Amino acid sequence: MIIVTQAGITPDALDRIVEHVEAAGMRTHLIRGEQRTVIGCIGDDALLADQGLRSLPGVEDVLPVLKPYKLASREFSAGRTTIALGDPSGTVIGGKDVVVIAGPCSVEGAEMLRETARAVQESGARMLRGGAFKPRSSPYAFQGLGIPALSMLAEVRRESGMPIVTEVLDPRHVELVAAHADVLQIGARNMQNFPLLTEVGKVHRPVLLKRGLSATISELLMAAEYIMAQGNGSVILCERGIRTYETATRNTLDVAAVPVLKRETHLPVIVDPSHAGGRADLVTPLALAGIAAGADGLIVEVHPDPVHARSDAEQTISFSAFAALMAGVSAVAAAVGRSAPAGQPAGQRTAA
Amino acid sequence: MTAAMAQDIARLREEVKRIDADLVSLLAERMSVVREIGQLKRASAMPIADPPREAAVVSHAARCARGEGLPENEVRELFWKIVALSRSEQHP
Repeated sequence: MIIVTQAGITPDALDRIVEHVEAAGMRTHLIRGEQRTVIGCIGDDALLADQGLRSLPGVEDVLPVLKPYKLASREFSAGRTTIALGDPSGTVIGGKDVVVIAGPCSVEGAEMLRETARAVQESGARMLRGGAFKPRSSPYAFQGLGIPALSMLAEVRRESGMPIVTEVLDPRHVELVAAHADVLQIGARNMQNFPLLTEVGKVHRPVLLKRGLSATISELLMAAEYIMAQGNGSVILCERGIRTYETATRNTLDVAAVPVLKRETHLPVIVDPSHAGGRADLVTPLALAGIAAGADGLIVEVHPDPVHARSDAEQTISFSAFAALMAGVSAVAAAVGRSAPAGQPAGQRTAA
Repeated sequence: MTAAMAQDIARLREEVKRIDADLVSLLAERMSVVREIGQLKRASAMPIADPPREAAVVSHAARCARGEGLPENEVRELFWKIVALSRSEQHP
């Protein structure tokens, strides 16, 4: 539930209400709006049933939060969550700029990663993706380079100034990956891996949470809630297509999920057009649809030689196709009142 | 980055390292006091868990945090962790 306090409540009165709620075994989250402060109460609402909250000084109203997610819900935040990456370019996810994350599905070597970083940065990508640990449907498929790939990502991060997004698969690897990456990705197949969500919640590093192949929007938000319940509020949601009866595409991009999520939560939402369609020719149209629907960014698979990519070759696009995609992104972003950063000479904004 | 700036960062990082060591020492001191309270609680057959007291401890920390201009929600979270640690220290 949330407690709406009276306008101009004194800090002392606010403390007393919070203490009252926490003494009953709940936790609180203060949301300071322009007009008034709202106290979000986290835990079993039944604990507060007979606490006479309405009669406490400074309480204006007590409202139930009917959604199962609390910290992720719109009611629990005064505004939209923005996530600053702290990189030399000042990248912020969830702000006015549409942020594009691009890079190879898997890191295959330092040189291909460097080359990709340079190309996508020149076209306007702000962040670099690259898989070190890969969850593959087949145990015999390429599983990623693992720890050496993390070092390569860190090296290219240093050279290019681009923040790194990479997936963490195993709760035992969370600290290791967090030591190299700016954003920890939880893949679609791990969206409901609750021990993993709990671990990434503890490291206080932004998390890119992908929607599960057959997860509802509510389940996606509950997964975000797991991370946030550990104190890590920097969660970026990612719509990456869901499984439907359609076989012409790998998955079906749920475009409507973007505006629905924007209404339900204060967290930023991005779209993965590569996995959604599973086909290179669909990446641009799906990317543009995502931006048009209000997405805060994209995550796109790009490779110097897509045909020979060691994973996801069929949905990976080339540098030139990515440049064309970015031109479209700028136009659509402008049409919906957003902006997309222009390309920049690679490495120029590296920390001095 | 100039050499002087790099030197400044290195010096400030040393300072952070010292502060962290102090924080851990203070935490250890807090735990030893808390264990004493635990013994007294057991001697007088009081329950170890005391939710209103815990809430008051966190509230006090939040008030101090406000005075220092620190973010309140985050300091509250930190202190709930410390309170949980203290509670487990009180169990024999």
